[in-house]
Amino acid sequence: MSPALEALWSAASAAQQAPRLAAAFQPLLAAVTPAPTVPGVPPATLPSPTATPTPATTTTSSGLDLPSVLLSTVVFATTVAALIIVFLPERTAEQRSRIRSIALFAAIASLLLTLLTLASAISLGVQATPDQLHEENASWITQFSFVVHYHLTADGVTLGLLVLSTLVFTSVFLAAWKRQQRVRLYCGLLLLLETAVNGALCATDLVLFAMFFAMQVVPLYLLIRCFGGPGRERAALRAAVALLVSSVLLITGFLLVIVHSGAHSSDLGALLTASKPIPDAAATAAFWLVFTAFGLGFVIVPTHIWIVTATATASSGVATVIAGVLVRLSGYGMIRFALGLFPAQAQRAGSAVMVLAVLSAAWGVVLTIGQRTLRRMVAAVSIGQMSLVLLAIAAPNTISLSGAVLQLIAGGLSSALLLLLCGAIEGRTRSAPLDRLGGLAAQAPRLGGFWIFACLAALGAPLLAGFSAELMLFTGTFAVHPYATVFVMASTAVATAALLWSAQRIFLGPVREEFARVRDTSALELSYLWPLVAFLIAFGLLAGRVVPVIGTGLTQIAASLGGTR
Amino acid sequence: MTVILNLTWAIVLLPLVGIGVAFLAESPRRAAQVGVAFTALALAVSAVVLVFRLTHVLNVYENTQTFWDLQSTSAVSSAHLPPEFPVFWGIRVDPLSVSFMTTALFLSLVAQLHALTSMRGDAGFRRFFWAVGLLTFGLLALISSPNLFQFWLGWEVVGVATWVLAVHHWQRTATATAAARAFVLLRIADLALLLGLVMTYAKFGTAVIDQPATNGQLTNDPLSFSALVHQWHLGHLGAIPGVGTRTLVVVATLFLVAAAIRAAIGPLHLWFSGALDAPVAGLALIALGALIPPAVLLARVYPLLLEAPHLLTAVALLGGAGAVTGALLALAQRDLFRVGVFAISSQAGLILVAFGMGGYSPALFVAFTAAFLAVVYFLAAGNLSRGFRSRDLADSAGARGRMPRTTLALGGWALGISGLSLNTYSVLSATFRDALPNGGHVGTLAQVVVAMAVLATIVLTALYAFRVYFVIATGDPSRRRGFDITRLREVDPRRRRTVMAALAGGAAATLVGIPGVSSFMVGTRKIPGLTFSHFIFYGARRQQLAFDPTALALAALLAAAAAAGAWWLFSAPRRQPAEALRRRVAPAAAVLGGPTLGERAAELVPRVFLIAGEGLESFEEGVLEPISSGVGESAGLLSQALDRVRSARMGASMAAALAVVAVLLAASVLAATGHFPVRSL
Repeated sequence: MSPALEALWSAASAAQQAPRLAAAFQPLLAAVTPAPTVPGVPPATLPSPTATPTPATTTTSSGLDLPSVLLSTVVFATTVAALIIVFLPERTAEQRSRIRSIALFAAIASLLLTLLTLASAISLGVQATPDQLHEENASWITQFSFVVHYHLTADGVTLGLLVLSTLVFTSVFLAAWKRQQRVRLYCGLLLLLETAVNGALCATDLVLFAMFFAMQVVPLYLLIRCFGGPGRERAALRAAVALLVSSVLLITGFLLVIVHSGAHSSDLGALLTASKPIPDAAATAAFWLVFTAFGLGFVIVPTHIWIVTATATASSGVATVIAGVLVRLSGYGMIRFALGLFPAQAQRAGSAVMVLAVLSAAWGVVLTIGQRTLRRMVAAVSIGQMSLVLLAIAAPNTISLSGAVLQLIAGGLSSALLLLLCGAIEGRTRSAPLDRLGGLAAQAPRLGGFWIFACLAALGAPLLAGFSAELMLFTGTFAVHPYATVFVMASTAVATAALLWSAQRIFLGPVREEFARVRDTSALELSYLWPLVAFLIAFGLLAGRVVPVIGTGLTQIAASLGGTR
Repeated sequence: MTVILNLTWAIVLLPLVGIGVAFLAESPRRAAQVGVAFTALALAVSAVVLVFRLTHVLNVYENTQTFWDLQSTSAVSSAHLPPEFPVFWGIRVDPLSVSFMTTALFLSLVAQLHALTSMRGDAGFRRFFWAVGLLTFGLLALISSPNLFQFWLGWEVVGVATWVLAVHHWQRTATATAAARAFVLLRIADLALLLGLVMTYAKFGTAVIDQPATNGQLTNDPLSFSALVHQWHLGHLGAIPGVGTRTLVVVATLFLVAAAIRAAIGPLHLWFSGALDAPVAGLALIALGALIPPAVLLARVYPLLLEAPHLLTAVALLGGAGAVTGALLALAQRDLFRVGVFAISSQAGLILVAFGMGGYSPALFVAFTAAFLAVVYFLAAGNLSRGFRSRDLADSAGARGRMPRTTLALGGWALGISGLSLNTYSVLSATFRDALPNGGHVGTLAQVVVAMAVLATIVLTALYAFRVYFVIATGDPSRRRGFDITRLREVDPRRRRTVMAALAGGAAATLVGIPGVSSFMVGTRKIPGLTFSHFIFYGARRQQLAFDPTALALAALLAAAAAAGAWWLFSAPRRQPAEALRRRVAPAAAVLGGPTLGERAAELVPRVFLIAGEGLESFEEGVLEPISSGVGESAGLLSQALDRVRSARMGASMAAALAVVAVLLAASVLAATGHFPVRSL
């Protein structure tokens, strides 16, 4: 049976199981009860997860009185797939292929559902209500002194990043299509990691978010530990410790807020509208705890080391997930929680954050120039990209934050593309260091074209996603930190040099004999490279449609930061 | 009527559509033909719009669409940011845009037709035409741009396409390195422009948005050129909070820096010399990218340059210095293509001079003619280098008899750039007149300095242009292994025709520079005049640029004298400038003052020449090159040092991380329980 037929068969068999799975999942959903209304909380007015928790939602557009489970499906489809493949054998090639097919099917299902939601959000525009954005809200744990909600929402900010996450994971599953060893473990862990990321992106309850956030630790540790290259033990341990510390800090910070708010709820909306203000001392401490927690995963100086090491050591697919998704998740958390929950503290910390951003920009760009291996160079590029986001956090307003969110998406896509290409190049050149590469474009012109495209995308070339992101970001931050903005802008020019030199070192120049038999991109590689390219172009060309949707997700965060005009 | 004006949308988008359609073509040649066809179609539509605009009395027509609209909420003071951040894209149909769009499309088509033949069999045929389409689209997008956002987009597209063209022969390491350096330098220009854009929005956005919306939009475009004209004036009057003359100077300087880098004004020409390995047709288009965007940028922000104190003086002085430097460097070159680079640099300097001296129309006219001449030169130089199998002037001689058409084109270029195209006359007359609409504010001293620079440029331009012509047209080539002069033949007719078409275009461009041929009405029909300044002018009323016989006589006299000097110095047998001077000056001085004076003059004159001309090139090679490469190397070393900062041992980093966490946890617990001295604001 050919691989294509095999994949089709696997997908079909998985589809046959889908109704049974849905039926199995239904009692779980039915078990959750509608959330009690929090006293003193006005009804939601904005389609933001920061809005007040609403009673269990129904799909009004269809007219059916069924709970909307779209977001739960996006989040847990991969978990279900992981549970299925745990029980599947992987002795023969056909069995391994079946495992890969199920994993890929779940990832594609999540991606398609996310795209459907994004399309409906774009068509609804700024008038979308939480119902229309498939909000799910139910009380979950009531035994504490506060109520923990199972509250999922997908506003503009979440949706953009959800597209990034599901697309990158799908690409990674495709990239692992020819993996033959420990397929079940690899796919299962990646599926769990996707659940953690997607859950964290959709969660608008603090405890729920922290739970999903901490859920990354084990799969990521095992993925690096079991599938990494030389030095994987140390890199895995570093990653696990960093994420564990990050989770502990996050939970501590969140608990401080929940306890001091008096809202008796860990829901973000309830906390934001709580009548009792959080004491400044507690809020300041909580802000710095949350900021540090996300900073650990944010690839900023000085916490970037574990991410750079992990990216360089992990397998190509896992490195793609780290730089393309996990780093961006921390950026999302910084915007959603550090800014949303602690507006006054964030404002006070603006100058310190700005200094960090400038330092990261300078550090990142210098590191990028001096790297000798591909992966470390791409990781260093991410430092520069995230310094832009940090600058937006230092000068928060709708414009800069919209730019930051778009930059998270664009940077995630371009980093993922670069890292997947790194994997392809390493496979062809046996992981040769940068200074031993050269002239690959003669044998692999398409690969060279993709690399140059990815470099241009990372630089914010026109008609691509990063272009509009940089415009908004710099426009928003210049009014507050003009000199820092100019400095960070200048750093992007140096990053241009670094990335072009990388393209030159790898692909341009005279053909080297040792790479004379290198093949160009295969059909399988094209299948995961083209979608990333297409989305980079789509986000660039459709920025006019996407940006207002992102803006609606940020309205309340920005409004809480300062008066709306 | 608006239907025809709205055809401008099609003009801008057709090259982009051509790129997309070309992807569907099976063979590279078919893809190239598709690109050429779409450019030709765009040119035809552009000609229709141009004729319509020439024959009708119309105001500026703008049609814009909202790209996005963001409500701005700020954590900082609301005064820091405008209330909204709307971004628009669209078209602006005015004499400047329709003229330059037609010019860009015509020259792009000529270059593409040349490439169809000259690049046959090239491995990167499809990629080349893809980049050319992109560059053409970028040029059209910025020329027709109604606002700074679209202008910046087009500007960046041109930059990316320039790099793709420059790195065409990527197998050569030196080519790739030079192209990367070119792109980085262009990126600095991009960032200067972006910073100018961002500052414009931050400082003037609120004032524009607060005005009642026009053009059927819900809100005004804060980056619209039309809207900003009034705001810049208000800013000058101090009527906008937070905006003073310093703001105007800073924003205008940013635009000026962007224009100067893109125009390859010396010593910022390094990016262009880094792109010299591009195919000749690509070089011709890169030259368009160096001439048109800066000229259009300065034209669009000209009201700002008028309002910002002393900015025009700076523009004129910078332009004067750039023009002289470029011409001197062009004179010192041995490489045919490098002469072209410095010729463009010098012409761009003249454009800046004209703008600085208040000559809006003359500046754009120089850009207009220089674009044609640049394409003629690079295509002719490409034909010559192919025939002689060398780009070295010393290897290329005696072409008049063997490549008559190409030599004729080169002669046309030499005549045109030396002043026959009225470029030098236009700049000189503007310099003498100091033709600012409000009376001018360039000081007398600056005016004298600029006038001297223009006069020097006229002499040097004629010298280098005719040097190239005489060296190539006359004499015999040096003997080289593998090259037989008897086998030298004119290039094939297609390539010849494209060069002649560009030359004909240049001649037509010259015709429209003749002053005083104004338009007239026949009933309700307007018969267009031939004078450029009657069609493209600044302000509500056209500038009455009277014919200036002094400027014309002076420009013609100096150019003729310099051409004669070039003939005297450089006609066969060919020599290098210093050697030629030595041989020519010594006998003349000996006749005048005896053998001693002759010997001294023979030593002194070449030395002066060397200091002025070749010394400048040495400056480039000895100072600028090491600086640019040294910066890269030092950054690399610093990077490696920083990379070693990461802790070598797991234990140390883990201990540090845990210690930090412990301190943070303890601090947070203490703070939460009120035992930590947190400053409350």
